[in-house]
Amino acid sequence: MTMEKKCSAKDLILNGILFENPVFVLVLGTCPTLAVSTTLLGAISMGLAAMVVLMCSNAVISLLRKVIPDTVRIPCYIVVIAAFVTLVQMIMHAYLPDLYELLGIYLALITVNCIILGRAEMYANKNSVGKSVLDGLGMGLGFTVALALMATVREVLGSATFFGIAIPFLEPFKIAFLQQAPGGFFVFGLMIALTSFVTKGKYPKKKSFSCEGCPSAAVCKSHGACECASADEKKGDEA
Amino acid sequence: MMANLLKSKYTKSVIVLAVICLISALLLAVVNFVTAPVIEAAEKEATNKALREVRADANDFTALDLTAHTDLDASVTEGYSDDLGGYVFKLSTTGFNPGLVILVGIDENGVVRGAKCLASGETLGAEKTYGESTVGADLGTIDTVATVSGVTKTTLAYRNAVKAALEAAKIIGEKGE
Repeated sequence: MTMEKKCSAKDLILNGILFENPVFVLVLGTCPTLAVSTTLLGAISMGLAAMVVLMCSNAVISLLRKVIPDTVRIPCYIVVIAAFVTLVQMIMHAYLPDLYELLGIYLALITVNCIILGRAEMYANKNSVGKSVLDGLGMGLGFTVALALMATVREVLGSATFFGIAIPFLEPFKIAFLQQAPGGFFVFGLMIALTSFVTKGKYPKKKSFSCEGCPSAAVCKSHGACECASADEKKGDEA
Repeated sequence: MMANLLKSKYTKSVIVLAVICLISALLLAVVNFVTAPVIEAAEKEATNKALREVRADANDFTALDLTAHTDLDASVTEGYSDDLGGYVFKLSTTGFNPGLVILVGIDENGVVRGAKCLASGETLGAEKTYGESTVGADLGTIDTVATVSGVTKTTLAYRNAVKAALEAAKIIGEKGE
């Protein structure tokens, strides 16, 4: 079975922002999402830093996809991702020290953010450099938008400020609970529900291991002969 | 056997991983070479800014090597000399609660110009009053500074720490640093 689904740049980017939003749909990168979404400035900074790392690591991993042996692919990906995260850290520490202090430990933790490694494994190591960079851009923008939305709710309703600027008329009504971890989870849940409502029917609801659910379906030449397809057949036989 | 080893997929894995690590390290070294001086300058300015809070007249500060001065009080943890001949000391002591950290600025005449509590176990805001009462004191008058009622033990520890800073300034000043 040959898949000829073509992904345009617009599709790739929109996929990352909405239909396969890494935070609200794929539920990846939850730790930094909850930790830095207390202020809008921190949220956007984290999102953009993660986006830069995602684009660069996707590009390099895609470039090296035919060189890296399967046995060491994860260590190689981690080295590449960690190198880019360290680069971003050093550049922020030198030229944006206030943002560097604001993000703190969560900047270094981008290395182990599931979104980065997940996209490297699921997309970048199977697709061209151009498409991998666009996928990184889409996922990065999706992460940034998700963080920014959560931060807007938590900062405005939780601290009565927006981007650090006080909103005086909201001061008596602020809900301090939203600035804390339980409030973060509460807003997170609401955002997932809202995303589900907006995208209903337009994203895979059931995880499929067949060619249909594979992100590399458009470029795959295995025609269903790969491991995932045979695993799916086995599942069908057992059923 | 050597040929088999070289053709082995494990050899290729090791070589690829090693090359990726080497290239990453090289790239990081280059960026570090560029950014390290900028980071160092920014950190020095941040330290100077913090020190100027207790020594507003001075602009530049140089860290002192306190290990050479064994006669200083044990509470003195860090020391800086400024460009006007004064000093700033960081002290760590115990009041009612442990972890009382104070920054004291002393001018070239041995007079306290600023004192700030960096950390304490007290009620937030109470430590502001401790520093204000010691400004203008020197070694001769520091013992006359009154403690704050209600937090007597801590303000006494605070006063003793400022006194230790004044003594340190005298000792180091006499040695010409």
